[in-house]
Amino acid sequence: MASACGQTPPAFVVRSAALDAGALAVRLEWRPDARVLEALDHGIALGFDINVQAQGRANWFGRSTLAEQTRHLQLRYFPLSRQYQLRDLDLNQARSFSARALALAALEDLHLPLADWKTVDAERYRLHIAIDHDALPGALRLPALLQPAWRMCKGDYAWFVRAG
Amino acid sequence: MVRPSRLTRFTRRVLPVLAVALLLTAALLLANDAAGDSRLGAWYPWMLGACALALVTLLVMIVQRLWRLRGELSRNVPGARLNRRVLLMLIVLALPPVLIVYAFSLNFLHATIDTWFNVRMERALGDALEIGRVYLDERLRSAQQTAAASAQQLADVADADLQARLDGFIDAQAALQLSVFGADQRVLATASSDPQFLAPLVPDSAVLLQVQGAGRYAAAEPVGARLLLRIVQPLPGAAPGAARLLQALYPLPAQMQTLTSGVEQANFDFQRLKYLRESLKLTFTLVLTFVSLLSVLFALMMAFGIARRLTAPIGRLATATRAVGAGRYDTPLPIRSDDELGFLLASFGQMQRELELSNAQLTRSAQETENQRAYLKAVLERLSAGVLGLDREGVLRTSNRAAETILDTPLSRYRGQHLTQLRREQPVLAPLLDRILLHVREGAREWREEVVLESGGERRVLMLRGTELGDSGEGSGVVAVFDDLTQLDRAQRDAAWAEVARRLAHEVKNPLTPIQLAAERLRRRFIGRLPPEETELLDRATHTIIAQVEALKAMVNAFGDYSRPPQIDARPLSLHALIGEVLDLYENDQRIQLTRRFAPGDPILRVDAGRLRQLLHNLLKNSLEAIGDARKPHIEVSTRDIVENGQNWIELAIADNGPGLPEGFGERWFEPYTTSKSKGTGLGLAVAKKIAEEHGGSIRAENRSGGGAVFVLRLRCDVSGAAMTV
Repeated sequence: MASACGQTPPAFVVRSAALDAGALAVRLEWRPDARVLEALDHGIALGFDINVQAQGRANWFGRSTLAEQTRHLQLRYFPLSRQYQLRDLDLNQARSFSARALALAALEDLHLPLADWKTVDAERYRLHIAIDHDALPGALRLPALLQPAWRMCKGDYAWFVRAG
Repeated sequence: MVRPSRLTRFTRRVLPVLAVALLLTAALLLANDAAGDSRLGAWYPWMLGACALALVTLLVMIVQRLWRLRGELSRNVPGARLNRRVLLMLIVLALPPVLIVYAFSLNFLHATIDTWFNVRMERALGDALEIGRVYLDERLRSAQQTAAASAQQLADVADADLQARLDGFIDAQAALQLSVFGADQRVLATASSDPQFLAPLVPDSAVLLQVQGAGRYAAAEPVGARLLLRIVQPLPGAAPGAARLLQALYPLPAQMQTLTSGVEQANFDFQRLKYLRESLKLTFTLVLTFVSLLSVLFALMMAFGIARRLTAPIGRLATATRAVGAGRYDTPLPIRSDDELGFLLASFGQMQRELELSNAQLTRSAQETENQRAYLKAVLERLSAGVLGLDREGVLRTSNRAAETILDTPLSRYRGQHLTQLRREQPVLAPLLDRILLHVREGAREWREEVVLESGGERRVLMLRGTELGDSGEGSGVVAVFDDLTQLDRAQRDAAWAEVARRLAHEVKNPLTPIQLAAERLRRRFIGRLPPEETELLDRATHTIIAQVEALKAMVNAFGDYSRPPQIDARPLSLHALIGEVLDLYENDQRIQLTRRFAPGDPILRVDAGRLRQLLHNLLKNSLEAIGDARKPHIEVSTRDIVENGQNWIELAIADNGPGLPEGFGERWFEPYTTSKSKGTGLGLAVAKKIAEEHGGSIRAENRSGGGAVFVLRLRCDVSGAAMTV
């Protein structure tokens, strides 16, 4: 149920997602534009918002959101130590990688602890991942709004509780 | 002009200010954001939208004003053209400076941003970073050796003793944290010299992968705000499946920590700025464009307002001028300033009031003049005397109805034409017009004379008086007044003849009877007593006397008839019957051939039968005497109905085939003692005319085309009488 938006090639493609034992396991593909990687290599921190919604049954007005959690990740390059760091901003935990490919691979295989939703009578879950434009430097916000490389589409994924 | 509502006026005034304020604020926030202030980062799209919205609002308002100005220009609203001119001038004044500042600012901005990225500085920063990396590598090598020595010492230490050994190493090696992990990354022992690092940092799969591949993991890792040297290596001597790992975290010296952090931050900032250079240019260009557009659009808005404010009084003045030109003096001119324009409006308002006053006076004067003219015209129209008004050139300017009646000419057709034109077309009026033109040419101030007009045998006497009007100017010219004295003249003549007749009757008729008696006595006494010769002489003499006395008596009686006051005993009678009775008396006369040719029907007239019979006798006798010894004397008596000026008339014509009317026959031939015959009293036609006039009719004579004369008697025919046909 991965989705793309419009004519822009999807930057995030969620392959699978599962919510089990209070943790979110996501496997995805991220094909960033060269300009985005160039920004990363020039020390610009890239923020990622991962939003998970527990949705109820569908009615005429769509599905109601029963519960919602958002996790914030940050990918950053440190030139002195040549290390790429993937930081969970909510838990203040970081993992360092000596190569960009390792950092991107870590980003594509996420295991994020979430609050327990056992009491939520959700029919399906919906995942939304996107680069946080608000976290970009001010000078980069206008290109992020205008240039397709930055106006990358949000990755969406939804799965039913039993099926997921 | 429809005055806009208060809401519209409020919107027109407040909306541009709000739009400008919004645009300015948004541009300022965008500029701050681009400069690094990320507090409003989440509002960035909204700020851009606000800028666009403000720009669109300003543009819409300007287009609206332009459209309104275009409408005013097409409707030719006063002041619109001046408004356009002032607007163009203000735009020409305001636009170039803004564009020049914009261009220079843009160029300056780009140049300034480019100067940030000096090659030498970049190289220096790169070198500093490289030095830092070399230092870190050196420190890493040292840390690896230390960690390797510690691993060697811990190789044979049992798990239970590891903690004690680590506690001993931690201070000796100035390490931040030392940990030993067993299988499945189980922590066997850990020691820390910093309370912030009490929990061991568990190696992840990437670290383990490198440990398996390279035999150890050694890297400088940023942890929080610090840079730590992390060494992970297996303890020697352990079986591959049950390898124990030693992880050592070493801090950099405090001074080096600061220095390397500074170097990294400087390099980091430079590289970031370098990457953001084009974005900065784009963002600042956008902000500058917003601000410039704001300046231009605001200048345009202000230009509209200023132009309208400047030209509004002139527009009102133009409107008032048009109104004054159209004769309206009530256009309000509010004076809202005390400058020259205010003075101009005040002066115009005063002039408007004075004009209104003058116009009112002029209107009153014109009304009075019109009334006067109407009154004068009414007086002229009711005058029995004819009036002709001429200018000094002899051009007819005015005339009254009496003049048209007296001259029997539609004079209104000749207004504006010279009198000579009238004279050419109406030669009958020549005696009158010639005299008037003569006096006009001579410039006579006043004149008075009698003029006689003759036409168709009718003679009319006019008393002409003339007066010069003014000396010069519009009202100068001549006015000629004339009265028809014909009736008066005739009445005077009739009165004179009546007096003659009365005196004849008194002075002549009285002695005639004694003369006649004396002559008869002489005859009785001496005829037969005297010798025959004497008797014959006496007989002839007395006979002559008696005959002449009889003739004188007849003449005096005729005068008596003429002078007798009219005593008409008018009664309805059949005209044709009356004519027939009279003609029957002449029917047997072998000398003439009498022809009757009456109009169809039998008109009934209200006349005195005896007087009308006498009239007919006089005319018939006149014709018989005029025919004289003609070879085939012929008299034709005819009647006909005519309608003239809405009045019914009966004309009775007695025509003969005699020699016709004598030369110069005219009105005077109907006066007593006017005759061309050797016999007769000379009263026949005069009496006939008198009887005709007593009946409200007229009589005229004219020559026939085939020879001979015809006398036409015209009598009024009452409608009621005319209907009474026998």
